[in-house]
Amino acid sequence: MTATTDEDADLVAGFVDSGRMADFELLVARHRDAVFRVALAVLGPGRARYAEDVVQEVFVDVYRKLSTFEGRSRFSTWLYRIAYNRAVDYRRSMRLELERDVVIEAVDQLAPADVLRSRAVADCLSRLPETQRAVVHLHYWFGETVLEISAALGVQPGTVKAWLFRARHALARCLAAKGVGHDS
Amino acid sequence: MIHDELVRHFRTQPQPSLSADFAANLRRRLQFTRRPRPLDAALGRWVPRLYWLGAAALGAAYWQPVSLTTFQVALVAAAVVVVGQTLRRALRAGPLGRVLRDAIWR
Repeated sequence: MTATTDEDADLVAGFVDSGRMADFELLVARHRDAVFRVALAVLGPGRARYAEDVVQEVFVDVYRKLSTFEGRSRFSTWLYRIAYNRAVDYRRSMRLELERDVVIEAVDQLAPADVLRSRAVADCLSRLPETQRAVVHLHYWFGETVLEISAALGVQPGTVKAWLFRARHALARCLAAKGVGHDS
Repeated sequence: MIHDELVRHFRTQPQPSLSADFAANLRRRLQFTRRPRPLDAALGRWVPRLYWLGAAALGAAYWQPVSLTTFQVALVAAAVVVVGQTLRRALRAGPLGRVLRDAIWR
């Protein structure tokens, strides 16, 4: 990966070379919401508390490891990759607890038929491979574009499109198997 | 359309945000976190590399299938390091690594 112009480079250098805590806090303020979205995209709806734990761990990790950042990619790419991997590890370590039931928030706002339908969608989403599920969450839940997702996950836009396509295909099959037709 | 189904599903999902005390909690955690000195970071990178190079050299010395000169052994070791590093980078960060990880874990 080639190095590109990185708007965070000065802050990274300020923290690594001079130990300026203010620079690190600016980096946190600039990226914490995006890191939170990446963590939530992996963990899924209803797991905001867990996602916040992941964000804390990510920034503690970055605080320790920033001196090893070699600048071969943008700082944000490096950071979001750490966040994605951390969230995936977290999800695996909490697998049973997180997947015990399908979480649907705001159930009280839905009609009973829509609750069943939403449960079916959530259940099918939980069966997707991690990358596809994360991409669906970022796109449909947080409204991020393909380009924004490709920057957040450090992959090509074409890869994001392919993951979205495969995810929609798998979801359609899963919903059909559950008897949830698109016209019902 | 599955696209509409997903739009409808996520329209009812609230978009959470970080709690108000996130920054204070993080600041408190960082106070108890020691930053490694540059020397520690360099040692952290090189000690495992030297360990594996030493282990490979010992292995090659023990199971030496053909007689090699020191220069040839050095060439083989360098090639192994280059191939290992390339594989590590490709599998660790790239989409291929993610696909393989998914395939193993699902």
